[in-house]
Amino acid sequence: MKNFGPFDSYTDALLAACPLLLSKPHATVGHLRDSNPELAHRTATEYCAWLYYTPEHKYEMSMLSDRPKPDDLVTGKKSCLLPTFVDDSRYAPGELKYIFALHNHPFGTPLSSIDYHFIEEMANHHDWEVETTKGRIRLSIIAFFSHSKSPGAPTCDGFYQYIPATREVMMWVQTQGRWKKTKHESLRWLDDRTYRFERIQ
Amino acid sequence: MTPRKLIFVITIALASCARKWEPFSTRPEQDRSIIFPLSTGSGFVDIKAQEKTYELDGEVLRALMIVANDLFPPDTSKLDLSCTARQQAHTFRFTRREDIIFVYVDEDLAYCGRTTHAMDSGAKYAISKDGRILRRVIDGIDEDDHIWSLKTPDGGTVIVATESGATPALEDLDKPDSGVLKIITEPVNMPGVMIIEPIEGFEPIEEGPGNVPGSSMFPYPFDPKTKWQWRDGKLVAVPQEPPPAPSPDLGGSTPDAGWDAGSPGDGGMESLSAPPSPPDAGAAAP
Repeated sequence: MKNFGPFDSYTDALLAACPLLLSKPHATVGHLRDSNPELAHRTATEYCAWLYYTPEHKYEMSMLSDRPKPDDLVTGKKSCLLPTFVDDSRYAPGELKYIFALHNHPFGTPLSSIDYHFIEEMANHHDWEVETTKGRIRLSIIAFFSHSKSPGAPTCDGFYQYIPATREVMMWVQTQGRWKKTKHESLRWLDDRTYRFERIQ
Repeated sequence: MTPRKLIFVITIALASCARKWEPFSTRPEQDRSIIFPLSTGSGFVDIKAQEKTYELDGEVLRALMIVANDLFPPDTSKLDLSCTARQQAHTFRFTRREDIIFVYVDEDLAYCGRTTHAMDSGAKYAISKDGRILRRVIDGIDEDDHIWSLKTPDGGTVIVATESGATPALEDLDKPDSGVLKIITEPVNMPGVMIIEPIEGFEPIEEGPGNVPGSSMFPYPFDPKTKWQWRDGKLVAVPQEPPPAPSPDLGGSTPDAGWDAGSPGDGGMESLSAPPSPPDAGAAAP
């Protein structure tokens, strides 16, 4: 994606992607939840993108996806269809390493059960763990959220994350520039459709 | 005020009062007293219409139609919608509990020739037998209930549903402000249910070396026999007994074969004498 990075650190890329996704039209609608819930529901939009690692050892983000316009306006769902592979003409297929499947939750809700399924499915196509020059990074799904009451300049207030390789579930929250992990749980699959969390600590 | 205006005002006032007496006058998606079933009941039946003959009662059919039309409005044939935005590209699972029909909607990946879901593509509804939406949970929009397994002093477990993600305290279950919506007594085997088992002593952690946004702290590959705990600011491994094999049948013949029958974590907190293992915290750090 133009005008984004490239970044030397995945954390820098992640924390730059957060306000970018949330600043897209109707990416956060919590400010309308009480005053006009119907409008909030109708307009809420999810965006998604891949954060990936290039052969130049940089972190970049794909173009943003959302649902095709007629679908988004007609149906009651607010899903986001993220392609399995990124089309970056600078590189041959297979050269890119997929790190984070990013999306936003307009109402700030936790990861949905389908979100967990989605990244498990992606783990069939991409490496669960990527070697970089600065260590290993694991494939995960991330949902950004904002508690902002100002739709014009929404703040990146945190994100939910699930890492299928290690079954870790985390919640990170930002307060005045300081990041804090406020949840760290372990997810256990009981079968292909049922699972449970265990909270760490 | 003219008599006509007065009558109008009184009519509106009475109508407002009358509406408050309805049992479900709140906005449907906000009726948090409705808890979606955690059990498949007496079985999970995957209907293959080509193979058998089925008869559906009208109340269930209407509930399914309400859900389908709420998510995918009818009469959109002239619109250029993608395959995934159509009713027929989804599965509709339902279970009836007394006067409420619960409906779960999921993508039918094969219908559109896909192999992966879209994020947040699920939804579930609670429909009254007279055709009202009592509660609606759409992924990415509406917050679902939080289901917890809490250890009791006698070594057992109790499963509760709460409205918020805050950990409920076992000693507060009887208090009106405990936040607990319901104590679950049925076996948990409904697909898609997520259960949280809290571990006491949780404290938020500031970012620091080996603990930065996006990082992973567990070793890979994942070892289901290992349980993790934070002690003195470090992640330590707690050895566990091997978990029982889950039932391959999600409830058809063994409805009580849910995860709670000897959970993998039972007894783990008592076996802390094992030496802490390195948390491998730096493995995924930048």
